[in-house]
Amino acid sequence: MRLSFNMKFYAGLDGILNTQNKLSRAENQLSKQTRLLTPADDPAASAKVLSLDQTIHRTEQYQSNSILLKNNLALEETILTNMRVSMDRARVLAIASGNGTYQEDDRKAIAAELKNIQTELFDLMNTRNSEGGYIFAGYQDKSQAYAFNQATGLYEFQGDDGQKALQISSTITLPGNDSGKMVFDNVDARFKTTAATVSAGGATGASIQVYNQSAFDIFYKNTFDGITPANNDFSVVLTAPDNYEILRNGAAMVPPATGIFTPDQPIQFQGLEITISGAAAVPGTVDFSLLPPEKKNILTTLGDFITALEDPAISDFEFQEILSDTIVQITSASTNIDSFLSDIGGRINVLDSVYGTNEDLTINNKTYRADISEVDYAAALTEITKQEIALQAISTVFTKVSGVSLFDYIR
Amino acid sequence: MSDNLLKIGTSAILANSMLLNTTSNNIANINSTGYVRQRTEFEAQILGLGVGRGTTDRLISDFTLKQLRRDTSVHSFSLQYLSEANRVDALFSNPANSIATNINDLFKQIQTANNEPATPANRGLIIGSAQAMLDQFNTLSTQVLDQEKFVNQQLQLYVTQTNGYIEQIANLNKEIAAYGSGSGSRPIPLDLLDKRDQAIMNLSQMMEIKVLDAENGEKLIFTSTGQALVMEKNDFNLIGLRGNPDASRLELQVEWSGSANITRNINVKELGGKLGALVAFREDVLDPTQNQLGQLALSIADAMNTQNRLGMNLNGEIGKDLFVIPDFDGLPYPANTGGGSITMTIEPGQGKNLPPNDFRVTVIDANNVRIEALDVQGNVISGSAKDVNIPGGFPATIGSDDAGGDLYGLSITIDGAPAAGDRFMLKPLASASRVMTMATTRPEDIALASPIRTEINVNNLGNGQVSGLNVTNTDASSSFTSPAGLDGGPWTMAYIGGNSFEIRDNTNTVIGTANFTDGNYQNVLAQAGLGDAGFDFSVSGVPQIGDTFTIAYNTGGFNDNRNGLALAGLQEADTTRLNALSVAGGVNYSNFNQAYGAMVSLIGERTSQARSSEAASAAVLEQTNKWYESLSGVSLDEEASNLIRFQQTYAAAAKILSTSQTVFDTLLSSLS
Repeated sequence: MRLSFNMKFYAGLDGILNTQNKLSRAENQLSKQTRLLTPADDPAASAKVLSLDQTIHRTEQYQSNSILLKNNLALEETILTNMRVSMDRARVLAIASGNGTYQEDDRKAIAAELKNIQTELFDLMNTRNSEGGYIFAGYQDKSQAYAFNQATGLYEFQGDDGQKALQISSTITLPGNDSGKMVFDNVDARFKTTAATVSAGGATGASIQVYNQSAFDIFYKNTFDGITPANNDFSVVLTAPDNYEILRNGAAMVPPATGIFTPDQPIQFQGLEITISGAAAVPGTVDFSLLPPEKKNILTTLGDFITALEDPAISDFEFQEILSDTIVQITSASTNIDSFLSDIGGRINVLDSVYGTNEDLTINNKTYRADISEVDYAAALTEITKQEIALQAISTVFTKVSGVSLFDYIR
Repeated sequence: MSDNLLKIGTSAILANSMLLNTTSNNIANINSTGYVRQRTEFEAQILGLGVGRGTTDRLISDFTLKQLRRDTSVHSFSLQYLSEANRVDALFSNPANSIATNINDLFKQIQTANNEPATPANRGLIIGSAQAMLDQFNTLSTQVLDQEKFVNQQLQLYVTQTNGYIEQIANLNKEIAAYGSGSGSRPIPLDLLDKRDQAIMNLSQMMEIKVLDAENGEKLIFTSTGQALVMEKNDFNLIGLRGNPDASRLELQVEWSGSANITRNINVKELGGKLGALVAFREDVLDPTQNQLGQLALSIADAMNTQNRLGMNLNGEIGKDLFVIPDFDGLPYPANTGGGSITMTIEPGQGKNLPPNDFRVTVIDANNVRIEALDVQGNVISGSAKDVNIPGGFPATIGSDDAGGDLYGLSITIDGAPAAGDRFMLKPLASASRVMTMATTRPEDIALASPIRTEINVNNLGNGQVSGLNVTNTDASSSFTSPAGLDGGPWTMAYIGGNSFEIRDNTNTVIGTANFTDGNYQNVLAQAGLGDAGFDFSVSGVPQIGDTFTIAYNTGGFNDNRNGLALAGLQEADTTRLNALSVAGGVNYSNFNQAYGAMVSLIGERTSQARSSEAASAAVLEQTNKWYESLSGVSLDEEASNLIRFQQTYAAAAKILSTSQTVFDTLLSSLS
């Protein structure tokens, strides 16, 4: 092939420019520390890097959410654990006060200690977090969760059911608080009946008492009718010679509750003992009703008990009733808190496991991003050296080739 | 004898000096653009009377030249395309320019605010991030717009240059034809031919051309699709026109230089060269980028607005829009005969149905319009037509409900009296990312809380819980009252047994009863005939007869972040439509980041394609250039050797003369 003068120069120049381009590209990759100088270098990887960036950022946010959430839950856990200790002490005191040998002064001393416990519990239930929000107040965390209502004499919840959830992964949100309504207020007062009254017949007296609270609780929960109050009325109908049948709202129970009646012998029915006295009781009717359910928080329970302890005129029977109310209710409240403690524990477990997963994911994603976008130093440095040598070689060859001209030899 | 010697010697001297002239001319023009190596050839004179008449020719192969022109066009195209694409590519390669960063930041701030919803400082950061995101959209879109303006300017410039070349070729044709052809013609000055070839080469850089030889020596030039640019004795001009109906878009046409009334449309897709590259770049990269930016901006704004309206802000009121989505004017086609006008905006809540396209509205008759999506070339995407019947006639505003639930997210208002057949073009995406503003800058206006609160009655016996609260609508048609409140609230829901719930308002009037067949209490309000309430929920667990639940406006519930979580969830939600055409069951939506990623990767892909085609065409051009140079280029070494050779032959020719002199002298002296 015939080589023209221009071709010789262009070929040399092209080689030099190309090599310089490659050199500057490798240098840019090093100085910007990325393999992808522009999206065109690897369009698919560029899009991938954007999506990885988003995932990494989001996961980092989830991690900081998790830390905050864990703090919140740990705070709640600490509060509830402390409350449990105080409540156990309150129960011990309550049980001790049932000791028949305790005098008025002993009861007053117990009342004083219980008052302190009550104050402590009240304070714990109004715990505030680092942002000043009441942790048990639900969404309305700027208003105090519990306040004493002078009019009713009750400690009343003022917040709502709200649970503020935090996102700890793209699919998992976990509540970071629990409403006092669920933790403290959702405690059933002891289920009770009205006193038994003789509505027909010659019975001289009738009494009713719960002898097996748990059996009665089951019966109560399945039976109580909040819509039709008459369905909560029961009657013990005594028929000659010595039969009894318990009717609900005048109708037979299913299956029928019947048996042999003996005066002064208790009739056992769903955890209740109904005792009717008087030989002339048959035929006759004794009525009782289920009292509507009631919820009492621990503060009110303790308040009621303290009042009873400080009442010198209280009858033994009344005191025993209140005592069993108190013990049942403290136990229920403790159980409720226990179930929340285990719930919180469960949440913290999920949190820890998700936190670990997120951490792993972040490392994976960062590694992936590095693999596709970050500069490989060895490769880039090798490239620079290679292009440097090439540039030197091309420059040398260029001067050699272009330096030879026939004109130099014409004299 | 010596008589002949003298004659031969003279002719040899003349011939050799002519050869030396040609050689010197070759050396002299070694750096002249378009110069073709010349060679002078002689033939022997008959009867041995010395050297005959010499002719000087250009050493050129027509075939190589044609190849060179074609390769030049291809290479100019890819080079121009690449240099334009590189600028956009560089724009999007800078992490500081990335909208993804801003979007991530915005959602990060929402998450942070969710952790402490009542803290104004965190909310302020959301406003700040949202403003920064809008600014970024504006910046990027303006930069893309600048590229568009730049393309228009360049088109103007190149059209002027192209017209110059066309004129130049036509003029040179005329001059060359004047020398005549066939017998009796004068020799054509070679530099004229060089000049014309150079002009044609220049023209082929601008666009792909075909060159034909006319009989009188003229060269006829056509576009690659066969439209005449230079014809015998006249020429056509290429002109740049303001586009219709969009005046900001420059279109190309050819016009006869003899009369401006004679115009031809030009197929810009096959134009090739630098002009074709600009047009292709505009269609392939700029328009899709600008449209996708606009689409992303509108879909983010609408999604955030919609979700914010479903929440409760820090003033305890139902949330309002965060971003202002402006109205866009429809561009009327020049052929319109009626007096109608069109404005459009995004239908609230429908932003996710907006595809990255322009639209055309055609008035069919007084009660019917058709909306079609257009591709980047402005052609209707077949199958995208939505016919909307307007029973009341114009003026009217139509939206998704009038088009079976999907009107591409548009809300179109037709005013005045458009005539049947009138058409309008809608280009909301071209400017959307530059015209959006914040609707509010008050941190309180971010609605992080849900407007509804449900509470169980603490005395409930059962363990039924209200769950899955979902707010779908808070406007005037719902049960929410403006600015804050629930119509007749708080409501009370009671379980009355038999899988039935009774819902009463605050006057204890029953407003609905939900009867279920089993214990699966989903969407209680819809079941109770309160489907228009704007929210719904389910009851989980087992309620006991008489259990009650309160459904109230979330007054004071500022620590609530349920709507904030929904706002944060938008980051992952399918909010951006990929195509105007939907295939049932197909994937047609992506989230913001994916949409942005797809846009960046499209630019990257186009640029990388341009890179490789530039490299390929450069290699081909280099090869062809070598081929061309190997025949037509000047080699200094060759000229040097010729110089020596012709010097020697000149000396030899001079020796003939001196020999002739000597012979003559010898003769004279022998006579004396």
